[in-house]
Amino acid sequence: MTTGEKADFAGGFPESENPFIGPDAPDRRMIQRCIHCGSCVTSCPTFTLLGNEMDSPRGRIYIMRLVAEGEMAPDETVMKHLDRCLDCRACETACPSGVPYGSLIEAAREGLEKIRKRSLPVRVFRRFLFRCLLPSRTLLRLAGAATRLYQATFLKSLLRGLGLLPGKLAELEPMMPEAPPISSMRALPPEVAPIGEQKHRVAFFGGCIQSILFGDVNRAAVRALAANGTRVVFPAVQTCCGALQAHAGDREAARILARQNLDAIDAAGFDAVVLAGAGCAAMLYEYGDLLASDPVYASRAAAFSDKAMDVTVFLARIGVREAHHPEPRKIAYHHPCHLFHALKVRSEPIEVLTAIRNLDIVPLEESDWCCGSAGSYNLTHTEISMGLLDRKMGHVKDSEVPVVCTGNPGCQIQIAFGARERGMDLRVVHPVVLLDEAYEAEGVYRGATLP
Amino acid sequence: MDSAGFIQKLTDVVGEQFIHTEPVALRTYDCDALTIYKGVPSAVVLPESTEEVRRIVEICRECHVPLIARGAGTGLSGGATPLPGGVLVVFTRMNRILEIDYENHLARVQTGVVNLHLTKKTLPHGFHYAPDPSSQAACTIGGNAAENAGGAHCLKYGMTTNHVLEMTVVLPSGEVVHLGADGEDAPGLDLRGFFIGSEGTFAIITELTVRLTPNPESVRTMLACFSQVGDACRTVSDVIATGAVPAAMELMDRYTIEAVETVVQAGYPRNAEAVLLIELDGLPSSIKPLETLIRDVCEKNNCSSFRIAQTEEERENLWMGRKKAFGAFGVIAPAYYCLDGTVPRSKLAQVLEEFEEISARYGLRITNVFHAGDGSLHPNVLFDDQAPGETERVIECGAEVLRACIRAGGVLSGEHGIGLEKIREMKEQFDEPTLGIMERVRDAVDQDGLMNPGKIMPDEEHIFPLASGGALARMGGGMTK
Repeated sequence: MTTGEKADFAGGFPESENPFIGPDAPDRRMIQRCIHCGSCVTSCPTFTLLGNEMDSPRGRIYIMRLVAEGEMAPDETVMKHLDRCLDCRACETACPSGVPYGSLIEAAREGLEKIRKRSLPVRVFRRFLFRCLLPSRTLLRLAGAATRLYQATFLKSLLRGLGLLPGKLAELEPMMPEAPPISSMRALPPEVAPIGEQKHRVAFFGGCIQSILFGDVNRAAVRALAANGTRVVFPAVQTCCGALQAHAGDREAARILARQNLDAIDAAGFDAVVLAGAGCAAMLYEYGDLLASDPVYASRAAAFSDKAMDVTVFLARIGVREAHHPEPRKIAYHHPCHLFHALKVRSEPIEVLTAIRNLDIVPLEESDWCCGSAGSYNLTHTEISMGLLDRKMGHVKDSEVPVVCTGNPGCQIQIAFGARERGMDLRVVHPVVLLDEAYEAEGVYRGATLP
Repeated sequence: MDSAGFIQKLTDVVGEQFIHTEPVALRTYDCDALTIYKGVPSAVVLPESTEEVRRIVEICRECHVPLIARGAGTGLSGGATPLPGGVLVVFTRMNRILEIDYENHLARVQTGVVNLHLTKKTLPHGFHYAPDPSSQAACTIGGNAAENAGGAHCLKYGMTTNHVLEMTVVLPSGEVVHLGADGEDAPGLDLRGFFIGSEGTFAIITELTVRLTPNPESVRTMLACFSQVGDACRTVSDVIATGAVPAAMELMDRYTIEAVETVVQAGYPRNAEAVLLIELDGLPSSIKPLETLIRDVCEKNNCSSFRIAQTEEERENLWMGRKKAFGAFGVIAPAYYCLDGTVPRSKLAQVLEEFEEISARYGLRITNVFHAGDGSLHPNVLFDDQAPGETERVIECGAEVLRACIRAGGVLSGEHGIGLEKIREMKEQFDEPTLGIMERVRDAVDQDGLMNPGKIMPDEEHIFPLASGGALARMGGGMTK
């Protein structure tokens, strides 16, 4: 490599078109904070699986720096390795220098998205998915209903049996989560009164896919909150949080959604903005950063982020009411990356589970390792995702539990799929659902009007 | 053979998925944790067995292309910096623990097994792998053997060489040989000891049999704080002078405390000039009197506070600060250069004063965090790698620091190895005949200069580009030694 190569690159790729230069580009000072010590590499699931430096956090930061400094063109290889990142942020836990890797990779992806040559159908599909489908409750319910219809009727066995699903789709189809009954996709009531004296008042954030596929989790969370003296308000015009968009490089779409949510939920009027999905939680915590340079929304976004709270964190903070579960069993807890690594929420979900006095919580090896779901990663990088799932399911098997608890819809779908594939009889459930079942069985809800 | 033919031959050995020749990939491997020098290899290969390594070595020998072995790339002396154009052999896939023999306290591992993974695996059975470099969560046991790595607990338990019993290595001739034996004293020449610490310049290690150490019955970890660095240094030699052998004795100065507390909040007082992290292990009955003894020595040397970790969590936290200290320098400076000289314990205070003076003269901050118990220093020169000319000045400053160690009767390296980093100073450490025998021994094993050329021994022939004006090597001309 000579300085000549840099000149060639600069000639073919002017600085103004460098995707890693500009206000929204990966922060150069933060890139430089990486001192190349390598402490992170073994914490990285893709490095562990693939063994390549380019597929490690240290390598990816190095690549960002090479591009930002104009030494390398952001070519296919650059994209391949940056795309392979799960954005699980385990490296942030390992990093002794406090490099904010998550924001670097998301900024890098936003930059790459600007220069990526995607075919027209793909571009149309992404735009539809990120900007139309996910933010629209109506369209999502339609999609949810169609999925339910497909799975619950002869259509599934017909298409599968006749091999009518084309290549990639046939591979992905079994990964589809089991859609709940269509009645479960209904919206939450605008307000739920606390059981007993009101001690807290929170806004509830439903999430897009969460509301459709995991409406039961949201309702369990609302009921458990009510049982803990909390009035729960559900602002109806809220929309998708924007996490999937941001992870996929469309941070502009995420900003649009963030502004809508800020308009819909006046966080200042509540003790907290509570939600029951780790991926969305991490996104809401980051609205402040996402809109930091927005002249109108910056300060509101920061205040909103301060109020955002995973339901287990809120319950642990207010001192969760104890209960006994009707079916005391051995359970294991899988840490969603976005709680454990991104938000450092580690003890609170366990505290909530411990409040169910008769559960036997057993250790799960590598419980803080990514399961491979990682937003839409299982769809875009199926092979790596399945490699990680295999590792996860091996540990689940070794722990010999009939129930795995985890607080993120993506992890729930992925681990449940892993269990189905392996013929394991495993219940995968959000911690708050177990808490809700315990309250229900103990009669805590008797006489209350609840969703 | 042309270059394409050469690459094809390597591909035939490891498979397409495990050879990298794309420019981006090659650049990410152009240095290890020493970022001052860079070298872009012609190919990176990831073998999975001794046999694959053997075939790679044969191909490289036929084509006269040098080989450089790399474990996790966490080395601090540039041992794994590729010679430009060489083939980098990376061991991330050779990460299997092959056999654990608890009865005889042995484990057989592939070279790429991560140091801490072996400890994690054996801990529930009452054992651990004793050498514990700060990078133990990532560094590999093969890399540790190549560099003869140390660690905080080597004060009591010894360096890597005391824990490796046998090694399978691939010689530059392509022969596979086994050095040492599973027992304590292998007959014949001790070639095992001879290859450990040779930094990949003799051969490539592919498998090792290492000693497993029983976990201590009990552990006590304490933190002594001082308002004078000199007092902390004197405490160290006084403790050892009593005949006590702590499991570890680590010193951190105030810049290190500041960096650590900013990143991890280990509970070190920010107003202290130095802290000593001292660990005792053994039977509870033997620890108790030592604890009193050490407290007395600390108090005699004016320690401002003395605290014993009361819970396992508190103990882990105290250690986390130490383990993350180097990385934490990233918070207080854009770059740092970690040195590794060792001096007699009695000279610690004097040498640290000399560092102060060197630091002032160069206008570069030098921080200290080190294995005080065995006088193994880690002075770190903090700098801005983007500032023009600063990297060169840092190297000069580092050389002065090392010279100060040698003058004090010390040595160039305690545990990081010589690599590229300290190669120029080798001439100051050793006289001509001594360097000469080292060179002749190396040349006898590696006649064609195939194995990691240009490392350890002063060398005019091989040039590694110096990264100047940015840790990403905009090539500012070769570094001549």
